[in-house]
Amino acid sequence: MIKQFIRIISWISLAILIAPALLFLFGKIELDQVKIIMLIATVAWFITATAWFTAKKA
Amino acid sequence: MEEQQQSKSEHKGEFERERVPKNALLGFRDFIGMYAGEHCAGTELMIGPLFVAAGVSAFDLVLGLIVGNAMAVLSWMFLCAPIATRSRLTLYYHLEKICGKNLVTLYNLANGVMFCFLAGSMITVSATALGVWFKFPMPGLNDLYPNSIGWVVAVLAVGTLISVVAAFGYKSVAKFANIAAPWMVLVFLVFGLVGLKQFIDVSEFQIKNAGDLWQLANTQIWKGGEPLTGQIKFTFWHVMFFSWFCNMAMHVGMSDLSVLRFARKPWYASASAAGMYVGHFMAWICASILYAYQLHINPENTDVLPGPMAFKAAGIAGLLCVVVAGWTTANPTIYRAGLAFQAIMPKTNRFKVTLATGAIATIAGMFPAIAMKLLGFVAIYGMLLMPMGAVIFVDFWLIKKFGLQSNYAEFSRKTFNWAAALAWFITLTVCTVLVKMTSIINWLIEIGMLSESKQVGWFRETFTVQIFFVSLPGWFIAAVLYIALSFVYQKKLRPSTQG
Repeated sequence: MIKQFIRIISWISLAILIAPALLFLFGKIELDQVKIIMLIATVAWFITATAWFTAKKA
Repeated sequence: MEEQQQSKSEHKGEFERERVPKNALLGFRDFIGMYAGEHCAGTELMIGPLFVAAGVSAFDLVLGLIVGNAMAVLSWMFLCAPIATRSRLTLYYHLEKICGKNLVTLYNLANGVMFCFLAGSMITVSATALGVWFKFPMPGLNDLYPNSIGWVVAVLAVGTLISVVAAFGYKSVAKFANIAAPWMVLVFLVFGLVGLKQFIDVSEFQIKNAGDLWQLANTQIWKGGEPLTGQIKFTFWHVMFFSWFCNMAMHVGMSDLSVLRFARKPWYASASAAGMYVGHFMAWICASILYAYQLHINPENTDVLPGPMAFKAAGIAGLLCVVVAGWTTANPTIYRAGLAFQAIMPKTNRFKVTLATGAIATIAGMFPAIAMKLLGFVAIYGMLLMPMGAVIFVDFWLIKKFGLQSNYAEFSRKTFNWAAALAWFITLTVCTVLVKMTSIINWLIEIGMLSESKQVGWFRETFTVQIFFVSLPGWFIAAVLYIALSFVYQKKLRPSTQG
């Protein structure tokens, strides 16, 4: 259950990684905001993906 | 990809000198992941901008990439995979049967040297990210030598780190590369989206439909026209042949026999399309948008520096992408180069060989000439190993039809198949002469052996072939040479067993 949850979070973080660039393209947010959100999504992806990749290997 | 493949094969045995058994074969999805990860590398951040520097137009770029990448996929499917799935041997074992151990050693040396330079360019890419933090002068588009102490120290730091990690074993980095791959692909896409928006803003273009977008691409991003100083003009044909041949060593050159021997069916090689259209289409286009925007804002700023470009577009995440993309691809490349060299000196410690290999790659990375001339270097890499691909193809499919022996080195217990070696060397010589034809004729005129005339001009025009195209005739030259030389070689050395 927890593994499933972490997996979902990791996929959401990838969606959040790309979403601000799309919003920027349509003029909804500024570039500085894109950069901050991307950094947060990056951290989230590497933490969660490492967890479920490691679990998968184990 | 090979490192992932290798790690999978390790679980089931290496099968280095035997056919891959049925229970070790892999599914189609395995190959999609492998190819997509392999071809989204740090060097994509150099290649995309270099297309813009070469004055490519939007039509030539997009159509050239679509056609060229399709040709690459077809080469994997119809040249490499059918042999791989029938013989199910590694490239090196297959080559050893045809060429003999000593010629394979020479092949390993050539392969290892090229891997070193390729890894050097990946280290160069990663080092440009350090320049954003430490503000040292970084090399320009036409720089051949290191231009600052800061640059040398940055490359040394990155190169040492990568080499040490590779020497300790690349498996942990390979795992990290698997995790980073989906993230990296999306960051590449972000580069394109952000660059596109910046272009729309700065050019005050109104994008209401696809036609408007195409007009923006044509008139603002990839305008065509003259290339930047010191660059070769790229047309549709250049883009098409470059994208087809940039992995020539792998498909036409048959390096991926080692990978595709695990495929259940030859058509699994179509999974390479995932790598081509993600890495060699989307990533190149996105990276080129960033560089085109940089030129649009300041035409004087021609520097191709992935670090600063990525930082401006995506901040720290972009910078991390440059480091990770360079690192995760340089690491296995150094490891593979180390393995190639170790095969030449089997008694040498692998740790030391990999460290020494990393040191060579690091020194190479200090010279920006390799990264800045990456388009030409990649074409040379393909050309160098292509003749052996032709030898394998002919040996597998055609040679028996001419009444000759396939796998001749194994059959005759020779350690150096001169027919294959001469096919390789002569092809490379002919290709080099064709590429250098203009310089050779000009030199002959200069020393008085030739005089300028209409015929000489025609000859120079007709027989000068750019490095990007020469591997196509080169393949046929190698194939014909191998058959012709085998007639002589096999008759001379084993007259009693022929016929």
